[in-house]
Order: sequence, then structure tokens, then C-alpha cells
Amino acid sequence: MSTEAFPYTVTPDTRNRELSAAMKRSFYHYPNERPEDNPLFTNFKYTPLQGFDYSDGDGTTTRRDPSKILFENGKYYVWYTKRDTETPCLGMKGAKEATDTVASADWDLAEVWYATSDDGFTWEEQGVAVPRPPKPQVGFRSVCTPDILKWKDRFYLYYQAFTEPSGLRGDYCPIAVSHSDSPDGPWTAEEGVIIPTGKEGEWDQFAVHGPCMLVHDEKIYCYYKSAFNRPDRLWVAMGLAISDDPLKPFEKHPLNPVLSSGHEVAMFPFKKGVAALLIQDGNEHYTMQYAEDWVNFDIASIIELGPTAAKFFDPDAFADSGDGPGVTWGLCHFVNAGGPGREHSILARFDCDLRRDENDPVFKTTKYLHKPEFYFSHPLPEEKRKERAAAKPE
Amino acid sequence: MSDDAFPYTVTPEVWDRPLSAAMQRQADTRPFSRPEENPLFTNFKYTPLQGFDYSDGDGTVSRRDPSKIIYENGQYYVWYTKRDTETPCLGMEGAKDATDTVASADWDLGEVWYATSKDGFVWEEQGVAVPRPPKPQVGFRAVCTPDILKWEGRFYLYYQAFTEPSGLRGDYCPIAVSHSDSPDGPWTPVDAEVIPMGKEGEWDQYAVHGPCMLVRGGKIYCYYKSAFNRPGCVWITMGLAISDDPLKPFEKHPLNPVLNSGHEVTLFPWKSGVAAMVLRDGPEHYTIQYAEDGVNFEIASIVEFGPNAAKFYTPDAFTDTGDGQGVTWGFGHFINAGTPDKQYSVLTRFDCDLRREPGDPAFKTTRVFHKPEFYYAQPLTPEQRKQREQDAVGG
Repeated sequence: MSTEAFPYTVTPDTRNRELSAAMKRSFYHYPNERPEDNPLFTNFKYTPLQGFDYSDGDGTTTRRDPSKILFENGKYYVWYTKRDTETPCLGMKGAKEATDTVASADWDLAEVWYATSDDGFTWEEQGVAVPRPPKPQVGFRSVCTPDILKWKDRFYLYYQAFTEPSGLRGDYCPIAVSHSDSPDGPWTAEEGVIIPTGKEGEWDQFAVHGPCMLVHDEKIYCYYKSAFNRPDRLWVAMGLAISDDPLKPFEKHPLNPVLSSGHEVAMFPFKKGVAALLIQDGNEHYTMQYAEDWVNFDIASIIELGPTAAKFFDPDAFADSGDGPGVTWGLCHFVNAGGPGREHSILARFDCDLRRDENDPVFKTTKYLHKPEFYFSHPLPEEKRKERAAAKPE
Repeated sequence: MSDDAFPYTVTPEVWDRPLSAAMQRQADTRPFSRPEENPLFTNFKYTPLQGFDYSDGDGTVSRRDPSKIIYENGQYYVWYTKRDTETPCLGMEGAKDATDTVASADWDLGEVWYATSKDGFVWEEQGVAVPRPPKPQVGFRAVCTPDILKWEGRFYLYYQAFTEPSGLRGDYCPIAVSHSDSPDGPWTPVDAEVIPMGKEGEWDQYAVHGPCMLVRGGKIYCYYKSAFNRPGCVWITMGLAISDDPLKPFEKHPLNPVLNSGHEVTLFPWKSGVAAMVLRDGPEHYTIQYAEDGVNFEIASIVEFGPNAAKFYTPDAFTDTGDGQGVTWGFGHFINAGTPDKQYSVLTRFDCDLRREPGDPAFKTTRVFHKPEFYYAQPLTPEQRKQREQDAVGG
């Protein structure tokens, strides 16, 4: 053991001395020793979007689960779930009372809509891209949570396709697809399921959710989410399905699930591999992860206040460059925009700095502070306070 | 490679199949495979404290950097930094203009005060415990950021002891100590450093900050903080110093620093080892970590919105049971209670559930939603927005 103390100034030699376990991780585990220098560490900044009408927040209009953002024809495109119903949704628990015009979940009775923008901040809703198909086609109850793929100059929208109101048995659905030669449509819906739920007993037997489409190694990669292990402690995890044709069957990866945590499927090509944002659920919530082989992810950073249901503007998503430069913004949603009885979701923009080669210090600080009021908005429930105030040590 | 897909229901046999790297890490965290089951995962809940006067928030009164909380004589005790000056502090950048009555940093000209409580929510300030000693004794400029130790029936307060206004060269200070046979004092200061700064060139050459005192293996453990590598990217890390006598020299551990991140020195006995809360600064911010040997820490959970400068009510901090039971509440501070020209800090209570027994679900959820307003309170700067609008044109 060294008799000299750890030095004040860190030099390339410092990592060679005997180190505590934590300092070893600093030098050997993370892509960079300090988060300020880590391309996969970022702060997130939020901007309300202009151009979307929410019926004065009465709960009848919801927009959520945005796709990746594309730049085509000199403007930005985004697709998303839109519900526009006469009454607010009932919630998952109200599924038995759902009708052909009354929604259970916020995403029940939804369609895939799209909007365009010149600057990424002000958007114009263009209309429906994928409506619900006629019964009994898959998706007749709801089509939602889309992602976009551009492949050999055609455009493909992959989305959740429901045949029952969410909440009836769970949130059960497979993935369906529509395609077009233009991001403005018209879109041709493929009849049937493109990525089915798993066989009975398999982890994804009930749901394939939240597709995130990328191109790697001349193949189409679809990362997706499923939840399993009910009625015991719920796991939410991510899987991967691969195809060499956007309309042919996708093969699920034998090592699925490939992520143990997260509630959003938000990946982007980074260097040779793929990076993922994991915000909610699981031991590894609030992390950025990286998999050089696109399957085996490792934690690259720990982040705070990340966006929910994020997708990125990702110019490199389909380029198959093998050298992903990273991302700087995207869209996300807030599911708690309304109060009880008028629950709905809104889209928002987030900005970040997850670029490989550049580093804006404004997005790389660990020194920000939240106001005391924010902490106090997470209060101790009254009965816990009573219980704890009365507790006397032995 | 297995032909079967990963099953819907997780059973112990699941972990024998080929796994992705992420699922293998899950296998390695057994038996606590989900944060909801993890005794070292918690949510934090905050309660404003009753009983402290802040001079209407005019910036002249500041309370910050609480000690661990102890229970003695049928009541709770906490010690903390109190600044009570005629004018608001100038800030670190104003150190050259600091005088004998005008403070630079919020903790400059601070003293160690204490308060007591019957229930942990309503507090009564009792007065000063350790005032600034006369010049030139160590601490004559400020004594602050205390922690308490109980050892063989006596009480010891360890604290930062300044001999210059913070900000003049940095935030340079060693640790000094006072002792008493009662938590109510009177306290006898030792006129010397008890934990000195490191030698020139060593990581802690300028500061030994934020002592956190525990008893372990019949010895006194002092975890502390120091910042280094300036003017390069600053590292803030934690070290450990050990002694077998509270007033005799502490020996710094040869593997220091023992944590690579964090801005608070917040540790508690846990099972046969020590757990640490690591909230700000560094690659492993927002984690709770555990070291069975008290030295080599591993990440046990990732947490959100933890308390700044936290110390826990830790009944077994000094009992050396070798079987730490965990903690459920403590004090933190908010340093942004005031406005830019009236800066001051307030103490707060936080509650959590870091106990070994099965957790209270109210503290173990990963489904915490913050209102959109809170996210929008983290906006792009106007310059950033302009830049990004410009960059947007042409994709």
C-alpha cells in the first residue's frame, strides 16, 4: 500500500495507485472521470410547445407518446397519440364502462396524428396520419404510441394496436405498421400484426409497447417495452426485435430483456453502439446506458429530471453510419397536465447535450438547486407525521 | 443459448439462463431485484420546521449544516451552523470586503448553535454551543458544520474551524473539537486542530470539511469531505480518518478518497458495514452506497430529490453494534431560501425509509410524478433558445 496520500492534482498516473472501490470506478468504469466531461451526462431543460390546442384542459383532448422527430422537406415532423373524445377518459379502472366513444385509459380510442415545425419550438398540427381501422382489424380500438422509420426512401409508422379498451385485462397489445412514400402520407395500413406479443408464459406475452426504431448493420432494430411478473412485484423492461424488411416478421433477441429498468423506449445511435435513456421503474432508473453491441447495456451516467416518454430528434437514426454523433433535443409528455376528472397529457420539448464530440457546459452541471417549495411539495402524509411525531426512542 | 424466451414470471431458476448485461446486473442484486424491495432505496418527504426565526428572511440569519440528531434526556438534540450578522453575507466573491462583522460566505462568522425537540418536528433553539474562540485560536473567524459524537459517556462536537473569511483563497479549514459531559454543555474547546488538512500536494491539502462521526470496531470514524484538482475540473470526494481517542490524532485512511462523488457527508451504520448518501457532484451522484468494510463502497440504489447536507437521526451511530439498523429521518438544509442580495439558508426535516425491515410502500415508489410547472422551471436560457432556433433551420 502506498504511503503517500492521494494527490491534489489528478494526472494520468493517478489511476495506477492503490484505490478505494469508488475511486476505481471513477477511473475505470465511467466513460469519463467527471460527469461534466461525460458525453452521456446531461441536464434537461424544458420548453412548453406552441401550436397545440387542448380544449382548455378539460380532459377531452390529449397528446402523448411522441415519435422520434424527423427532418424532411425542410421541416420537422413528429407523430404522436391523440385522443379527442366527447368526455374525459375514465382511467384504466373504468374500462368496463368504456364505450365506442368513451375512453378508458388516456390512450384508449386514440389515433396517430402528426405535426410539423420550422424551428422545433412552434408546431402546426397537420391532421391524422393513422386512423383507427374498421373492426375487427387490429387497432380498431386504438392506435397509439407511434415511432417512425425511414427505410430505402419509404416511411413506416409502427404503433401499438389495441382491440379492447386498456384496463379490461391489462394493457394488452401488439405492434402494427403503416407505410407511405411521404411523411405527409397517405399511409397504407398493413393488415395484421407486425410484432406480436410473446407466447404464453413468455415475458412479453401480454404486450409489446413503445417501439423505438433504428437502423443498424443494414437491419431494422425495434426496441420495445413490456411489463411482467404480475401479480407479484412488477418488472418493466425493454426488449429488442430485429428484421431485414420493415414489413416482414421481426425476430426477438434471445437475450431479451436487454434493459432491466425504464419506462420509456428512448434509444439513439452513439459511437459504434446505441445509447438509452432510462427514467422510471427499476433499479437502474435515472440513468443513461450504452451498449456497444446494441444488446448488452452498461450504465454510463446518472441523471436527474429526465423527460418522460422521450424520443429524440435523431438525424442519425436510420443512417447506419456506425458512428452515432448523439442528440440534443426531443419531445416528451407530461401525463399529469390535468386535475382529477380532466386528466390528459401534453407534449413538451426538452433540450439536452448528449453529443459525442462537443460539450456545452450549460447542460453539464451537477450544481443546480431546486427551490425549497419544490421539496415541500413532496410532503410527509399527515398520518405518517402523527405516527413519527409520537414515536419515542427506547 | 436458450431457445425459450425469458419467462413472464420471475423464479429463482430464471437467473441460470443466458442473460443480457443489464439483466445479469439484476441477478447480481438479489435478493432485492426491484427498488421497491431494496432497503437502501427510498423516496424523500419534506416538512418545514417549526420554531426557528429567520428575521423575516432578510438574509441576516442563516441556519445550515445540521449535525446528526441524538436523543438524550427525553428529547432530540441537533447542532448546526448559525450566522446572525447585522447585514446579509457578501458571498464567497466578496471575501476581500469582509470585516469582523460582515460575512463573506453564508457560513462565515458562523457559530455552532443547538436546538431541542420533543417530537422532531417542533424545535426550540437553546442557544450557542460553541462560540468563536478569541483570535488567534483556530476557529476565531468561524466555527461551523458540526457533528456530534458520544463516546464513553461524554459528548464531542467536531466542526470546521476557520481563521480567514471563506472565499479569500478558497474554503480552507481543518476540523476542531469541543467536549462536554452533557449535550447541554458547557463545552470546552481544545485549542488545536484535531484533524488537520493534508500536506502540500495531497488531495485534502486545503480543507477537511463536514465531519460525520461514527463508532465502529471500537474506534472513532470521522468521514469528511475535501475538494481537489483545481484549477482543472474540481473533484469533490469523501475521506475517512480514524482514532481510538476523541481528542488524539486521527489517522487518515491510506485508500482515501473512499467515495468518488457527493457533496454531503452523510453516513450511518448499516448491517455490519456503513451506508452513505451521495447526492451531488461526481459520476455517482444521486446514489446510496454501502461498504461492508467502511472503506470500499458500492452503489446500492439510485435516488431522486435527496436532501442537501443531510444528517440522520441515527440511534446506533455510537453503539458499535456491528449490526446497523438504518434510519428514517433527519435534517437537511436549503441554501436558496433567500434572494440574491439576501442569501441565507434554512434547516428542514426530511423523512425516508432506510430500515432493514420490510419497507413502508409510501417511501418505496418509483412512480413519482412532478408537475409540468416544475419541469418548466428548468428552462433553456434565452441565448440557448435563440441558438437552438437558429441551428434548427435546415435540420
